Amino acid sequence: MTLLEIAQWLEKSPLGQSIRESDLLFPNIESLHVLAITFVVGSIAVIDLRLLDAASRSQPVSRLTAQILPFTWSAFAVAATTGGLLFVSHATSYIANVPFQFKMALLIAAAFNMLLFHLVTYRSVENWDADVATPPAARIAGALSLLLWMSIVGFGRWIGFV
Amino acid sequence: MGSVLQSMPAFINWLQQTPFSLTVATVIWIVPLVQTVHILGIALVMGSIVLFDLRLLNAGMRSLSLAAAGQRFLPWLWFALPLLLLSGLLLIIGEPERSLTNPLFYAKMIMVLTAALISWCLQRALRKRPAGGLVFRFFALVSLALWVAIVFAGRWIAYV
Repeated sequence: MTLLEIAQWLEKSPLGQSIRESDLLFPNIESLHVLAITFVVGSIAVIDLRLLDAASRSQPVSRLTAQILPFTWSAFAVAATTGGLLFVSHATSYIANVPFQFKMALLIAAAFNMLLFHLVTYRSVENWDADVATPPAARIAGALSLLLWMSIVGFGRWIGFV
Repeated sequence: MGSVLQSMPAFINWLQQTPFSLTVATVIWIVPLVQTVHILGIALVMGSIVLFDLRLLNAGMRSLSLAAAGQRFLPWLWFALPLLLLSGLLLIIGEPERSLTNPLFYAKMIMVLTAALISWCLQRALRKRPAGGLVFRFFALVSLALWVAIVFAGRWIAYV
């Protein structure tokens, strides 16, 4: 099965059809998607700014991530689910949509940035947890994360304009 | 109010023909860019106000005192609101009919004003009652509900 065939199959599925044909489903799923993604971006920014030593400087990094990330992941699950539902409803147009392709590529980049941070940089967190001079690798991860998530929002909005 | 609404079509007509409005409407990258800035402004509101409200509800950010949570998060709300106002204004100028004739737009503005007022009052009230309490929790819930409704109204403006 090619990607196009999968997209056609998804679009023709009862789920894809009902979302596409309903006047209420698409805008409501889209609103929920925006709600979830704005919280994901806003709450990740709190952590990114701490990694950049720009805010929350009185909070140890590990405490901040422990308090915020569970909420962020819940919101991300909502954003991914609603995003998947929106995708199914117009799958063939989305796979051909250049801003959509960029958005997916940037999401993968954000995932790699996060994995690298957690699996490598964060392992030594006890050495710099309360420091206001975080290691360069942590700063780079924070700056990249901010840039990537802002671009993800930008490309996400752009999807509707092409 | 009635006469204000009656003169709205004339105002929209005039606004649409100003060079500034025409520029915003015809230069293809302006609207998507300004909408992106607007959504990033909402992300700032979400990151700050939801975490502050969760703290008031004792549901998150417990390592910060209520006052510390207010100091940490509310300045971002006061920064984001003017940014949202400015980017929103540009979008209205570019496409006045989309919002100014839309009842959802006015509902959204009333909810934004109410939500901002609630956060401002909570911030002030925390100085007198740093321990918070039931009233604070109630208004934290109202604030959360309002911001959810504001985002829905904002997206729905495009469909109504």
